[in-house]
Amino acid sequence: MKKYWKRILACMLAAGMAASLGASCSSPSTASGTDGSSTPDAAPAEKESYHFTIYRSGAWPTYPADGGEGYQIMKDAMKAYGLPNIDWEVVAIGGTEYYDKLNVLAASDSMPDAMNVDMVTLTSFADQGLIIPLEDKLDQLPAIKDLMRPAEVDAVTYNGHLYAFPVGYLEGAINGPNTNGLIIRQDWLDKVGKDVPTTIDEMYEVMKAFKEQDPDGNGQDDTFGYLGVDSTVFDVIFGAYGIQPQFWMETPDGLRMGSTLEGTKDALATLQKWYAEGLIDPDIFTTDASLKDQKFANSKGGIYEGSGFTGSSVQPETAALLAATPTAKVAPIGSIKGPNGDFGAQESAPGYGNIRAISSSCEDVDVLIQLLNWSVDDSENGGFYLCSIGVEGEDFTLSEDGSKIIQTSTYDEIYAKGLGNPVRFLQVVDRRWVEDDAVKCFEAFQDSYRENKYWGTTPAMLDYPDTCTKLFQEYLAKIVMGSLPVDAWEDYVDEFYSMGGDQIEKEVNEAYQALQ
Amino acid sequence: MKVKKGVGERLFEMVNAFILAVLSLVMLYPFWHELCLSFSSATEATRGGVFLLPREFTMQAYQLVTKNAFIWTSYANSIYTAVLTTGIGVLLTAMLAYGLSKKQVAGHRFLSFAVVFCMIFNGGLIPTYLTVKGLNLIDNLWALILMAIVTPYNTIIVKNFFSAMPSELEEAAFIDGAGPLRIFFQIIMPLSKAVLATVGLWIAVASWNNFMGPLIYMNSRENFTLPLYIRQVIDGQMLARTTGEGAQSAVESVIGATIIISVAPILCVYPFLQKYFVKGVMIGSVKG
Repeated sequence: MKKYWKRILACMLAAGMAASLGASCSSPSTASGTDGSSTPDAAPAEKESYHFTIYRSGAWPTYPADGGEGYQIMKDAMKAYGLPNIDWEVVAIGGTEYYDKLNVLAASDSMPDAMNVDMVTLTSFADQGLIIPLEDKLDQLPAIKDLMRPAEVDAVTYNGHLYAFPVGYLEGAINGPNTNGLIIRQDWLDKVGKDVPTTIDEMYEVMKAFKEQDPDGNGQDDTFGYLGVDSTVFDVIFGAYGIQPQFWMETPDGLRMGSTLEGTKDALATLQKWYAEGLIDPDIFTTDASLKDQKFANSKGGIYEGSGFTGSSVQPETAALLAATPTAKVAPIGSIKGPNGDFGAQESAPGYGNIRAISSSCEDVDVLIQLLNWSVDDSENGGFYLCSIGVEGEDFTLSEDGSKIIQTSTYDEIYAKGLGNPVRFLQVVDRRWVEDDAVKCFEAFQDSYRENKYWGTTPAMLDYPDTCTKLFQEYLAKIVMGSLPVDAWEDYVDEFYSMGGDQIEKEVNEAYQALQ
Repeated sequence: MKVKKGVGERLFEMVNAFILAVLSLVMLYPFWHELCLSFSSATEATRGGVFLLPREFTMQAYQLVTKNAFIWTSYANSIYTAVLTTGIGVLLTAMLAYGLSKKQVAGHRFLSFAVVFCMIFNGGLIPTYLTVKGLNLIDNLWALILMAIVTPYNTIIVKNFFSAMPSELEEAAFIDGAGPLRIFFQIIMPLSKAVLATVGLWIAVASWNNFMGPLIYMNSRENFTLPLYIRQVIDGQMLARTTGEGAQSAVESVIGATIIISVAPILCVYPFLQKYFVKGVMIGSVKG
């Protein structure tokens, strides 16, 4: 009798244990699922069809799981193009968690065939041999090769090899890489009788007028000169002093981090003075992007850290501004010159932050490259438009000279169809769809930026993750807000070098030399 | 008999009520804010500020969100996963715990050790991923279910509850001719409703809120669960804003509408489950 008890209990226990093991430990559990779905098995050479898994960093929640009708449209075009047997699957995840997922896949030998990478991931994957050098493959991409900027090709070159494809750019300032800059309220300028500032001194005068002369006319002292976000580095202001604090800059002693160079101190002194006089939004270091937009839309500030898109009246922040203040007008600030005539904002990250690597586990690299080339080919049956903006005649029309794209579907609709950004296997920047007002802003921002001499990541940067960015941002906030004197910048430089900065600087210079 | 309250006591009650009212307003406002945002027009939502009522009332954001079938797919996936995880989880946790509560079972000490061991050490993300991959469960909702059904912590809670149950109950049932299975299902389980409901609730909430699991193990849109999908909607709106593609939609109100749609069912069910949450807190504490 007692034995019977034991047996039954042991059975119950075993069932529970098996589940518990499966849940908590890594030992293979009893159940062997045969209902799996992914990973088609690899056929020998001369395949009848090729299947590629492509990981895209970006959130397009309306993109259909099976590729939607866009999949068939693309298949048909590829068939006519001469690539009948290529098949693909796109996995798109937005935000930083994309890299969480990618790292798990890399560690467990389940890499996708092609994927978006950032510079940190690129260097670590390249070191581990997870992605392949691509310099020999550039010639197989005639549709995009000449549209890439040589500087960007260099920027994604690591240890002498090209480990990713940057983006291409169509001609014209509108399609340039630098999209961010300062936007100013033209209507406020008119009211206080000033022009768009071009120097630090003029900018000071304009902001002072914005602060003191009640440009919104509500009778209250509630306006500021400058609106930004908590992560701001005031790149335009630093640029006027010949510095980009978080860029590697060329000096007679080799590359140095901008924030350790003398000009930084002058810029900090200026910013501290502006902040003390109430010209900069006092809450700037606790303001996120949507709060910044709110302040802009509610006419709290006259100069706004925006992008070229802010110039467009349908962009959310601008539309909200216009709804509240129909007379509002915005204009770009081209460049702000400092005491020595220096200027220049931060240039955008290489490849517009959108670079693509190919996994070393990809079996048919050359076929994959054919797919990539098709996706940026704008000749007949090429995928250029399908993979960026949809079907001609259905989703957009081209102006007669081809210089403008008139969209008839929203981006959400294009994604829902299975076309556009999710299947943009390579990117060629094409902003012909942007409205004329925004075009003006883009053009103003294009020729006023400073280059980062080294975009890569070195091992010491990974060992000291806070040294290059966070440390400076802390000191910046404290000094600008006046809780530390400007001289504290010297402490910052000491701390930078003691927190691994010397090692990082050495490695960056070595890597830079190797590139030259 | 009515005891007259002193001035001090009344004052205390008034202050108390006031503080609690302020507290509940503080808790309720963020939800109200999202609700108002979701019903406000695009431009008004971007302007932000304090909302007492939606401004320029519109259903546009809801039309945009519900037009997309994936929100319902991920809804269904979340419900499917939560229900199965909870059902199977409660049953298996109870079975394991019942066994562990019987000291006479062979290997009892080792098995108890194994459960506690798993509570302190686990395989880690990569080995777990490899296991799931080996089982061919990548991009399959069962990966999420199997991984969440039995956790050592829940098992120990339930085991302690079973251990505290008088053995006379089982002996009486045994004398009346009930076998172990019958005792388990007809005596033990019904008497343990409180602890099982609590554990069930924990499992359900953990499953409903699970973000990392679906992120790592699910690939296809068809298998996204609600937290992952919402995150994609929010990221998508942010992305659209920076790439100038948000022109046609309302960033803030779409985010608001998505959040409201996803919390609404929980909000409806919660009042009926709340007492179990309270009970959950009491489990393990000394009872009078």
